[in-house]
Amino acid sequence: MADIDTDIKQMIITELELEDIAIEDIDTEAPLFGDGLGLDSIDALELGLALQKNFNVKIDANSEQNKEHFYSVASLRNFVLAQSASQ
Amino acid sequence: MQVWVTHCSAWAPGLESAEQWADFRPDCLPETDAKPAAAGVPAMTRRRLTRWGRQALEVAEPACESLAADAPVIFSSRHGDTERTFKLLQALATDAPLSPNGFSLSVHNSALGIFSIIKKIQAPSVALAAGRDTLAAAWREAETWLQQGARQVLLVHSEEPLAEFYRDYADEREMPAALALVLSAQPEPAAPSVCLTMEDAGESAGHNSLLIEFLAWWHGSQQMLTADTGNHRWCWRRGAAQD
Repeated sequence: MADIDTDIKQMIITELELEDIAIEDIDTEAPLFGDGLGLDSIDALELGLALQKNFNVKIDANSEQNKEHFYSVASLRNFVLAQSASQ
Repeated sequence: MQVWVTHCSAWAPGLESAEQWADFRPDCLPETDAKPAAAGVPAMTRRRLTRWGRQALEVAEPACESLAADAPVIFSSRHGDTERTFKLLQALATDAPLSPNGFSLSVHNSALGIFSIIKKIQAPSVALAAGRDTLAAAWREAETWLQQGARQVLLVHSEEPLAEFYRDYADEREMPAALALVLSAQPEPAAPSVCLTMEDAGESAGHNSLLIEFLAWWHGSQQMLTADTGNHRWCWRRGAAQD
């Protein structure tokens, strides 16, 4: 699980071009948007694309649950694991 | 029209201080990937900018110090950011999804938009392109605002050479560089006066972009710059206008 967390963090840093942020700076449980890492709505779209590209997961754009899936690195990891288990 | 240049800041890789610019020669252009710090831009915004936008905001920042809140803002660039445009077109051509961030910043006024948001500018602003004449056209636009009663105008010009893919189509030498000028219709202490006139095109167009010629002239000691773009001959003169 720690490996996936690291992969997700690295993906966030690379895809969102977070210049000054290292993997250690991202708290697995902290919110990604708003108060935590401070990502915005364009980042959410970019992240959705990156997840499809890197982890081959499908994201339903209209799903009410997206907000929960995208809350933190931990919730993204659970989402990715659940998706790959169901494939 | 005679205008007074009350502020000038310029940035190019390796060319930041007045001393460095004094040594600038058009026959030796910087060719590195170096980017400016753009320290005035919040980090979460800055990360999204390529050098084209970063350098524009780098030079615009110090120009703001003396800028009135109602001063119109002009951002000019001939091609904009063709590296970003090319990546988006390449994605479209291969049916790959477009980067939302790349798409949101693909318009010609993207750097101007970010600048106006950061600086909370509510004055009129325009982003323009006019082929090889872009810098002169932006200057004309500034004069127009001054003639219409604006006390000051901020002119920011950013140039990035064409992306590799388009390089064979280049019809002039370009350099990665940005220039910010504050132009005023009224004399101000220590501000040089400059007059731009347009004449019929010469027999052949010059090799260098107007920006390269302007930066070399501005930081040099010649009284007059004459530059041919193939469409027009532009003459910038220091001191009082001839006519």
